[in-house]
This record gives sequence, structure tokens and C-alpha cells, in this order.
Amino acid sequence: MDKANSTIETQAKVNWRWRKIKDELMMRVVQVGGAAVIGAIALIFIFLLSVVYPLFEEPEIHESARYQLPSTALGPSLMLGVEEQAEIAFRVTKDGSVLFFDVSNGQSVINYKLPISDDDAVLGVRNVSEASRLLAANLKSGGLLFFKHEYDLEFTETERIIHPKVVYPFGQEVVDLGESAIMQFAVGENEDNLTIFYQNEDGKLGLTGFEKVSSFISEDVVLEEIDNSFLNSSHEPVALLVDPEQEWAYVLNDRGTLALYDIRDIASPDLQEVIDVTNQSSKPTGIEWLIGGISVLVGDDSGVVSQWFKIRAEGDVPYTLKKIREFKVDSSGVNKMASEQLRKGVVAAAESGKVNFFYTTSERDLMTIAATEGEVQHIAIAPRSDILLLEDSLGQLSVWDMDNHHPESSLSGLWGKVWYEDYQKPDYIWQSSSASSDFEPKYSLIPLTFGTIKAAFYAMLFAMPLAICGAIFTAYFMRPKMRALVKPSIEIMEALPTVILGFLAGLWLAPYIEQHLPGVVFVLIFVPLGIILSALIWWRLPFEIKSKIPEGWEAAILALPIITIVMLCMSASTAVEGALFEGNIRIWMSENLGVGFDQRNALIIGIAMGFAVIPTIFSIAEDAIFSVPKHLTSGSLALGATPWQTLVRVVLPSASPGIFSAVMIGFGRAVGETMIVLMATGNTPVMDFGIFEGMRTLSANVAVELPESEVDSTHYRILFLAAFVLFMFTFFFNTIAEIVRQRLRRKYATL
Amino acid sequence: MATTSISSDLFENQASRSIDQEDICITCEDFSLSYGTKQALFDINLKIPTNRATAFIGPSGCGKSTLLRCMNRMNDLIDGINISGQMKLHGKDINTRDVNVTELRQQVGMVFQKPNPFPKSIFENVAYGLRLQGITNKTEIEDRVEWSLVNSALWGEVGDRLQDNAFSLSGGQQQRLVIARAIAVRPQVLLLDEPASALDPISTLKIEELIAELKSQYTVVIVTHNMQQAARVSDYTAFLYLGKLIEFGPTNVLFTAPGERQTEDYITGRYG
Repeated sequence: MDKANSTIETQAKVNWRWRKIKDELMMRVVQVGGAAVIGAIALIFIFLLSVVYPLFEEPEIHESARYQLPSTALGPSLMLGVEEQAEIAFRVTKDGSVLFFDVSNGQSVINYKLPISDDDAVLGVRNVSEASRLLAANLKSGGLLFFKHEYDLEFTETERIIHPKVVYPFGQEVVDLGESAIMQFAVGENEDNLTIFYQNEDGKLGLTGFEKVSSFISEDVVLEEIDNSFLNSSHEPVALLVDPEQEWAYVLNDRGTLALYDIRDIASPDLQEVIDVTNQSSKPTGIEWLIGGISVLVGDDSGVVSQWFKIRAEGDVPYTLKKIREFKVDSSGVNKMASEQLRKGVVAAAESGKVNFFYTTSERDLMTIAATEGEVQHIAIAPRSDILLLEDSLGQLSVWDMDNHHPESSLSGLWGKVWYEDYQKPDYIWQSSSASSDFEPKYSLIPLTFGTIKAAFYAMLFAMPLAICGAIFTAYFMRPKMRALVKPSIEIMEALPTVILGFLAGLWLAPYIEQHLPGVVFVLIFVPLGIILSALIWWRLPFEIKSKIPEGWEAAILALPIITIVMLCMSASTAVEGALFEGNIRIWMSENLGVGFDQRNALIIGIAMGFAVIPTIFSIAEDAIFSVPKHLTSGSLALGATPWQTLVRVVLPSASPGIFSAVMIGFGRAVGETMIVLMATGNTPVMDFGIFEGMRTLSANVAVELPESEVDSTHYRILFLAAFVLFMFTFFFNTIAEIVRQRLRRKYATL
Repeated sequence: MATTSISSDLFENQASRSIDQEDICITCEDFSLSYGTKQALFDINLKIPTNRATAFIGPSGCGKSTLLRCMNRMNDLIDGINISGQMKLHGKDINTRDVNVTELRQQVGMVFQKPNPFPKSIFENVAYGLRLQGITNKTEIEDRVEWSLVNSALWGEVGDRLQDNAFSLSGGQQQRLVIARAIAVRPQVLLLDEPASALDPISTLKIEELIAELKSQYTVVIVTHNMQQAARVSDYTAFLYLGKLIEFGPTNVLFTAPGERQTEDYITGRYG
């Protein structure tokens, strides 16, 4: 007996231990699972942020070398430049020497001499085109000499050796521009033509156009003069500019005015406008192109750099110059400016030796350094914007390493209106890439966010009434048998891959609606009316007919009038379009109402994405309504409330947090939905809320552009930012929904 | 001969009357009900007197709640119910098509086993039925709410916090609130479906005291499992068993001298 007892006891103990182990084990598994989910979300969050963060990082700069100018004896430079690898730099001196030297230590690499006579001298050198490395020098003896700095690369086993050289693309001949020496000049150059705009010793402003003609035999290119003319200028010019397409010439004079000439006909330049470009008392100190040849930068002695470009004017001249933005460099006055070769960044040096970096489009004032002891004479930015060379008046050259990867992104640029070149006014624009190389990407997240909200809005407009009313009917009025059929059917819609919905919407629904637009509008009007009418007729029907329909299945008969109305509307569509809208409602709308029509528009998205979110909203809302305790409804009914009164006064108020949460989750889903919007919106990042206009959403944008963007580029990081914004959107809506749902659950627990 | 567990002093304040002397409120005539193929009530014939408390007793599943719920047609909500025979309120059949169910339910109020206040304030709970009837006059509503709460013996406890949520009340208070809500619409009949079974003894006592007061103004029909309760609060008692009305009579007679063997077995605790 004792033995038996003890066996039972041991058995019980073993069982107990085993149960405890299982319990512990399962608890740990569940805990690990839960923590892993939270961890995964946190990791996504951290990863997105880590990719996005560098966008807003402050740039860094530090001095890597400082040395005396190589071949100091030849005097200060007339031009300073760096090649693409930022290993070799060159300077041009008065005697016509082109001195190449090692950027890191100033060691001379090789010296060239321009083909000028010993008693001649170079007065100045200007960059013609940074992309083709073409330079032009004006000579004391008159005329311009064009030359290029070029680099041959040689690869040995272990290293890359760069061999600099000087070439003469238009021959070693000096381009003759009359007897007197050229004091100032500007050159506009493209593939076929070259225009020189100059001021000679006599103070005259001359304009000469050339055509590039290549010889059949030697393939040498020579310049052949097409035309020339002289302009009158009442003030002393400070600087001249010609745009690369040689359509416009700019003259900045000492009074602070900028004159714009139309030079499309070189023989008769046409003065378009003279405009004050400096503040009242300040004098201009220089003018520079921003890359692309559209914006000009004007520096003045009050230390302000202003950006100008021409926009379409309203008056008698077609264009007018407009100040777009300005940057304060240093009150000592702007001494020298240089713009980056691949971006719209600018380096401006002040008289005080301070050097300021700013980025025009993003309006970011990036940094200011006290760079040199003397005044900055020349600024050279390496093409990749990683090295900066400064020559000061004391003959010292300083080399700066720059770490400045994403100056073009700023909060104001991403979320505010930006005035881009050639636009009439500041605007929100997303245009990340283009075929043209001097194109400036435009990264405003506003059109995408707008498109996302628009798509979600129209989807909700379509889905919310249907899903919520459906949920109310199913949960509250429907007979259990019918409910057992309807609820799973709607929920199974959720399993439909959205790519199929998108495909159907884009390739079938969109063209169909385009062809039957009046019919669709009629459906939207007449179906609700028809439903109300059917209900009225049903109410009036004699009891004998009503009693033949099983109770609770009345709604099923509604399918009949709905289908009939839809078919009638669709078949009447073409006839109505012909009779009322001159055969084409789309053209009629744009002509008479000014409403544009995209085939893939918000209506399509509303229907297709609405279809995708209906099951989500329906399912959660139905659960919320159905789980309103039955004793509450019977309590209300027992007080003599009609089912409708009970619904409105007891059921809906109790279930409203659940319905709200359903709507939020549906909205979150609509915001994050990708395939449908990708395939059926047209993906045009426009900011138009019209129902017949397309849109581009954050999600579709990421899906379209991320595979094509360069890793770690600004574009790439901004796409991650878009993804992050999207994540925050859905996170926000789902969190709200979940909080409301938790509250609801707690509330029901006490009922 | 009948050794009941209930002492006769329980009935001392109950007048011994015959049902024939009473004014009849609800009449069941050959009333039968089935859920689909399963019959739940068999040919019930019953007269419920006006302004008296009538108790339905019987073991679980005997159909007493079903019968009660037929009196204001709460069973309409259930699928597949078939009824035959008549259920009359003041001589008028309530199951004909020309009867407006909501009006019927305003006349025949009902209180359920579990307190079911709405998730609203105490005031709004009581005012609910009034608002349903379209009463918008503020003073009238306030007067009726106060009257109902006074008559349901709750005013003293909640009179100064009418705007509090009804869920802040205790279970017993909630049940009295539900009764207040029911009487606010001035019904003729009050159906109580085991109103105290979810409550503690003190709350139960209060509810019973309340019923004793209410029956002077309302016809009260109460379903209860608790035979002492039936004995304490009711003037008449009906004993149902397996869907059949076994015995109906004045409470003191039924408990002290049951006419049927089954009744005696039940009230002496042999089954149930």
C-alpha cells in the first residue's frame, strides 16, 4: 500500500516537473518570438535611419597640405585647376607657362609653355568649359589662345600614373579679335559653335561668333568666323558672360547693374533688360555661372552672393532676370567665387580670408572656414568636389579635403517649395533623373506624400461606406446562415494578390472606364438611388410576396436592381456621350470644364485599392459590431427601441472605436499599398487632387526608382527617406488603430 | 402531509386570494412554442393578475424564461421559432401582425439576469427609453429620471452623481438602475428574468424589497431559481416542468399545499 502510494507520488512529481518544464519552455519560446518581432521592427527602423542620416550630416573639411606655389619665381597664377582624380593640379602664369604639380606636396610634375613669343604675355585665363577642360587665354599682343589640359592614364602593376599635357583643340594659332589687346572676355561654347564676348583696350564690347569646322584630312578642328558686332555700354564692365548655347550675353558693370543681351543674332545683339543686382550701396565684385549655364551668381562687396536667372516676363520683353536667393558670405565683401562642376554648390571667398560653402537649390549654408592668411586669389574645386585648392595673395597654396556628399538635400528642399532653374516660381517637384547630364534632380517629397494621401483618400472614399455599411448589415441585421456565407467570402477577397488587382485595374478597368465614363458616373449616381427606391418598393410590397422570401435574405434580392441599373447605365453610356458631350466626354471636359483626364487616375485607384482595403475594414468593423454584447442590444430592444434605434444609440457608439480602428488599419494599408498604385496610377508626380488625374505614391516611387539608383547617392538615400516616411505613416495609423482597439477590448471586458 | 422546507410565516403578509377575484393582465391560451423541431412549451394556459407579483419556478430548461420572453416578444430575435395558441395582453393577442412590437415592449418592460446598463452615464441610461419615445423636454426627462430612480430605491445612492458612468455602480446598483430604466417608460408589466441571480445576498435583498414595492403599481412577472425568493416576493406562483405548466396558484397555497406530486417533489428539493 505504501509502496503503491509512493509510486503514485513519484509519478505525480515527475508529471509536475514535466509540466513545469513544458510551461517554462513554451513561455520562453513565446517571449523570444515576441522580442524578435519587436527587434525586427526596431532594426528596420534603425536601418532606414542609418541610410537616411548622412543626408543631414554637416559636411566636413580639413586642410591636408599647405605649401609655397611651385615655381614661385614665375609669379602668381592666372588660373588654377585640378584634374578629376584630384592628384595633379596646374597653374598658368603670366609668361604663358602651364605648370602641373602634385596636389599633395606641390612637387612640380611637368611644365609646358604656351606658344607665345617671349615678349608677349598672358593677361588672363578663363575656363570655357569645365567638362571639356577647355581654357582660353587673352594675350597682351591681342587675341585669344585656346588650350586644354588633358591627362593620359598609365597603369603599372602597382600604381596609376597620370601624365598631364596641354593640347590645342583649334590649333596653336591665336584667335584674332582685332588689333588691340583683350581686357576682359567670356566664351560660350557648344559642340558646333563658339562665341567670344570681349572688351578690348579701347573699352569697346565686341562679340564674335565662330563655327567649328573639322578638316577632312587631318580631323583638326579650326574656328571659322561667322559674324561679329560691337555693343555700346555706358558703364565700365566688371565681368562678362555668355551662356553655352550662345543665346544670351551678360554684362555686369561697376554700377551694380546686369545687362542681358539676346545674341541669337550675333550681328545685332539686342539689349533685353538692365537690372540692379546688388544692394543699394554695394559694388559688384564678380559673376560666375552655376553649372548648366542658366543661373548666374553675382558677388558684391557687402559680402552677399545672389543667384539670378531669367524667367518668362509679362511685358514686352520675353524674359526678365529674377533674383532667386542670396547667401551672406562675410561682411568684408566677396572676393572670389567658384561653383562645383557637377553640382550646384558654390565656394565663395571673402576679403577677410574666410571661405564659405553653400548650396544653392537646397539653400544650405554648409560651412565657413578661415582658410588663408592673405586674400584668396584663386579657387579650384576638383570635379568630384572632394578637394579644394586655394591660392592666396601671399603666394601660398592650401589643399583641403572635403567630405560633402549630400549638400543638395535639406529639410526645406525636401518639404518646402524650391525655385528650380527655368521654373516660373518656387514649386514642389519630384523629378529624380533625366537623360540630360547637366540636369538637376528635384527631390521634393511633397508630391509623393500628396499622391500617397490622395490615393488612400480616394480608396477610402470608395471602400469606407461600402465596408462599414456592409459590416453593419452583416453583423447586426443578417441572419446567421447568410452571415456564415457572406463574411468568409468577403474576407477571402483579402487573399487576392494585389498585383492581380493592379493588373486588372491598369489594363482592363482603366481603358474600360475611359470608354464608358458617362456610364460610370451614372452608376455612381443611380445605384445608391436605385437601392433606396428598391427599399421603398419592398416596403410597399404586399405581405404575401414578402413572405415568400426567407427572412433575412431580403438583401440578396437587391443584387437584381443593382445589376440591372449598372447594365442600363453602361449601355446608355455611348449614346449619352454622343448626345450630350459631342461624342467624347474627355475632350468635352477639358474644353468646357478645364478638367484633364488621365486614363489611369484617382477613380481607378479608388475602385481598385478600395477593393483591396474593403476586406480589411469590413472584417475588423464587423467583428467590432458583432462583439457588442447581445445583452446590450436586448436591453435596448426590451425598452421598446426599434432595431435601427438600437443600432444608432447602443451598437454603433459601443462599436465606434472598433470601426475607427478598422478605418485606420484600412488607411494604413492603402497608404502602404504598392502594386496597385504602381500599375494603375500612371506614376506621374503631379499635385492635383482631381479625380481624373493620376498621382505617384511614396511606395510606388520607391519600387520604381530604387533598383535604378546608385547606392549611397543622394537619390538612393532620399528614396530611403521616402520609405522611412511611408513606414512612419503606416506605423502611425496602425498604432492608433491598435491603441483604440486595446481600449475597446478593455471596455468590453467590463461589460 | 406536505413537509415543505419553507415555513409558513413567509406568507403572512400575502393576502390569500383566488385568481378568479383578480383583474387579469396577461392570458396564455394553449400557448405552444418550438425551436425548429424541438418543442419548448406545451399548451400553456395561464392567467397573470394585474398589479401582483407572479413567479415562474422550475428546473433549468423547463421553459420558464422562454415563456417570459414571449410576453414581450423578445423571442422574435431568434431564428426558427414557431408559436401557436395565444398570448394576450388585456385580452388582445400580441402575436398578430398589427401589433407594433416596439409599443408592446414599451408596455411590457423587461429586466435580464445580468445587469446590462448601457455604456453611458447613469442619467442617460434612465433617460434612454424616454428619448426613444421622442421626449425632448429637458425638465420632463429630468423629472422622470428622478422619479424612476426614487422608485427603484437608487436615488439616495446616485442622486448626486447622475453624470457618472453607469459602470461605476456595483452589480446590485446596476440591476436597480436597469429596473429604473425599465420603469421610466411607465410600462404596465415588468418582466424580471432571474433579476437577482448574479447578485450578492444584500443586493438580492434590496431587489426583493424593490419588487415588493413595485408590484403595487406594476404587474410583475419574475422568473427565479430561488424558491425562497419566489415565496418571499410573489403573490402567485407557476411551476413549469419540461415545457409544461404543472401547477399555478397563490404562492402560499402552492408552497404549503401543492396540488401536484411533481410540484411537491421540486419544492422539497428532490430534483432541480
